[in-house]
Amino acid sequence: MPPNPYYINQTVMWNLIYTLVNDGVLLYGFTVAVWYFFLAIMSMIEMHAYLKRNYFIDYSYILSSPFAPGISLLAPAYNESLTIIDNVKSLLSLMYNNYEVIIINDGSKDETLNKLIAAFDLVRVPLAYEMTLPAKPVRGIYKSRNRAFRKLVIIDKVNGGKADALNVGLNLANKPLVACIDVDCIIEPDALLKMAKPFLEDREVIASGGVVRIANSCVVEEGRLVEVKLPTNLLAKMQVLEYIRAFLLGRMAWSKLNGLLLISGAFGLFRRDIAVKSGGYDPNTVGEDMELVVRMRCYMHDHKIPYRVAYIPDPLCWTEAPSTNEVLGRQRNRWARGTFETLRIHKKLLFNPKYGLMGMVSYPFWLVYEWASPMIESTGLLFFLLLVILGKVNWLFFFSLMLAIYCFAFFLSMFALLTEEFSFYKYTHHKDILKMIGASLIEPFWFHPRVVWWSLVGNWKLIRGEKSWGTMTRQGFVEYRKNVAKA
Amino acid sequence: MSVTESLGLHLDPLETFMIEAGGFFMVAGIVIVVILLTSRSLKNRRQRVVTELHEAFQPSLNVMLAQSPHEPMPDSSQHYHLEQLQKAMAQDRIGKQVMIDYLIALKRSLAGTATIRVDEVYRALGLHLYSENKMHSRVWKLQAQGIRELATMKYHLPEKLKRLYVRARHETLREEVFMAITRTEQDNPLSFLTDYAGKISPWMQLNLHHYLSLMDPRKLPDFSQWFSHLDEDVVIFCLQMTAQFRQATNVSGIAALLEHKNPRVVESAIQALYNLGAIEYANDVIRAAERYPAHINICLLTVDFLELLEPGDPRLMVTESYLDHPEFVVRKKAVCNLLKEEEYGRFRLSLRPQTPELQALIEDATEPLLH
Repeated sequence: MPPNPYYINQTVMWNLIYTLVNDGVLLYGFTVAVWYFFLAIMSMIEMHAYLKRNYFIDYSYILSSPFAPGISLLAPAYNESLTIIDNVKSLLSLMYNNYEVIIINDGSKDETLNKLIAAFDLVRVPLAYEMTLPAKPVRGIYKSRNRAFRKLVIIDKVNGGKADALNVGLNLANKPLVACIDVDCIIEPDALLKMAKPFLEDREVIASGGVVRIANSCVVEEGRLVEVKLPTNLLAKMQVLEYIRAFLLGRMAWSKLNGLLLISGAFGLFRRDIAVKSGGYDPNTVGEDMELVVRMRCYMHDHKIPYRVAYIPDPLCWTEAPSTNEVLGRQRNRWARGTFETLRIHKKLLFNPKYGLMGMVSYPFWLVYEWASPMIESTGLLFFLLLVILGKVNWLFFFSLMLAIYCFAFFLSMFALLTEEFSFYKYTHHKDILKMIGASLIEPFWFHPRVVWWSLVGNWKLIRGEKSWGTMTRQGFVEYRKNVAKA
Repeated sequence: MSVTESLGLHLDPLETFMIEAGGFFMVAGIVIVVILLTSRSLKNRRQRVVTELHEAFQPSLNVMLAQSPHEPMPDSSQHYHLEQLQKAMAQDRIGKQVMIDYLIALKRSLAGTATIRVDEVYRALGLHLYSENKMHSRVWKLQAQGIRELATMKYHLPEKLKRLYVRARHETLREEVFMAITRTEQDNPLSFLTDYAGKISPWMQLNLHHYLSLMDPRKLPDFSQWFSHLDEDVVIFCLQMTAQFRQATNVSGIAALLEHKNPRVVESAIQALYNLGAIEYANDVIRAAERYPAHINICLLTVDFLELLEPGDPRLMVTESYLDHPEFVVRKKAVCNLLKEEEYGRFRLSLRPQTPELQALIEDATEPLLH
């Protein structure tokens, strides 16, 4: 009897799909591992060089120098009445001479503005400015009558989102460098000194990014971090590990390659003129921090101006990480949407040699290994479930693959902890290191699947056209101080 | 027979590769864990050793550094305390390094004759030889460390090594030598500049300025000797130093640089003339600014410079011409500076079309909280 052609076609098709998905996912996993291994080694080398280079640096010379570049600190605030006074006081006490603090009240519905007016003795002033970058209208500009707060400028504007608020800040900034920060972050007192140094060392630097660390469970007094502690909340602990890996292993290497695409919105320093000329922040994306860096880089490439984006591995900014699934989920799905929006806006970069390493390596890396990663991972998982249902799983192959992935993930986390141990050594308690090792052992099962899920949700929401930031509920550092006092 | 075969598992090459890779990373991860734990205990041990050494150094150092210049310590007592310190250092590398770090920290926190005594203790203990030896190391970080230690303790670098390092290819090493020369050679602190062909970054300028500002002002070099240097960074640095240290006799040399082809040099020259109040060069500044009508910094500095003119000076009309500049910041600066002579400024501004922008700029300029 001749073979049934329909059956043959089905078998061929199945084999084709099987080979494509199976080999595709395997190849993807292999290249991910190679890339991350390469970045980790490169980061370690660069970190070693950075620490040696900066071993002798006395940053206090910048503090007393008339040659220190001026910095405008831009901090948008929306419904921050709980912590705004402490945060502004902390910003006003940074170690830097030539700087101004511009707080942009982005149409807060709570008492943010009134509290600021009362605490800093503010009055409305007729400051003249030019709306170089389009933004929502400014309702008023305030300065303090107290000379002690002469560095402080408060802008009250109609609500337009973080990017819109930062654009207003860019319009009004008076200094050549602008530091864009989240007002609820804790900035290390010497952060501006360290961030300004790359601009002094190399005139081609257009932006510099710093490391953001998790402040949950740390002891905070008067807006200053006085003791670093590992979070007690497991979700936050996982994020400590994740941040160390991302900031010390990933970005350090990209900076060395001059391919860094992302400077965290929590703390970044930019040349104001380039940020303005390239069009400022895009209010239509939720990933405005990454989008600005990419656009500034595009501007420099388009105008054939040599440039560099620098990166400081010192922990300069501490932020409160989400400690519940709900809030963390919102944050991660926003990050996923922001990444894709930026990649979509700048799709002309993909394998475009005109944009050098950014077009040929950084952009494709972000597209394939950062944005597409959750989709590919979940495709692999669904395919595996299908194989289980069909009884076609090669269990030996499956377990050897899982073992390789798990061991590699563990190795990478340990490598990150090693880098931290020999560089900044912030978690000094004996048990901290054991807790982090423990966290890295359970992370692939306990934390990573959630991150993948939230990224998928983010992309789904993007398809549905959702643009919102989502509410970020924070406990507030004031609470920590109270807890410490109780203890 | 491999382990897997003994378990009855027959692996294909890919499975074998994955298991081996997994094993490799697991072992590597465990090795790192061991390193981490060992590092923690070593750090604690080192901390303990440092604390113990500090405690051992403290009594003798207290006596030696606190002696009055009018009542010097008897030689026997001096020898006794030096011996105590030598004993505490135990002549090993850790002891010597902890002592050097401790002396450097002390020097930073002390002032007056006590700092000279810190230098004397450093030399009396022979630590300068230890620092000098570092300069012969193959590791650049150690070389730089040696240079920094000698410079901090005001010990002249050996001439031969100095000549070698001034041309070092390693940037940090080269910069360390420049700073060391500036710190230790009071008679010619910028001797390296004459033959220097490289860049001087703003960071380097900032450091050199810091050390120059600590010097006796009478011993500062005449910066105008480098105004014709081939490297424009050196010229800019010297222009800035001339202004900072107010070497008013150099104004003619500065004015000559207004003709320079590099706008950054012109910018620094205008800034220097403004800082030195060299109003006699107003015409030259105006001519130089006319060559760069779109250069924002030059325009802003020119507006600032013209502020030095007496009210009624016809050259103030140049400031008014900046009221039509395409850049908002320049227009704002021009209004602000015109209104510093309030009556004259208001009169001149009243002759112009009263646009909303001009009104806003006038309000801004007359608000005391904004200036």
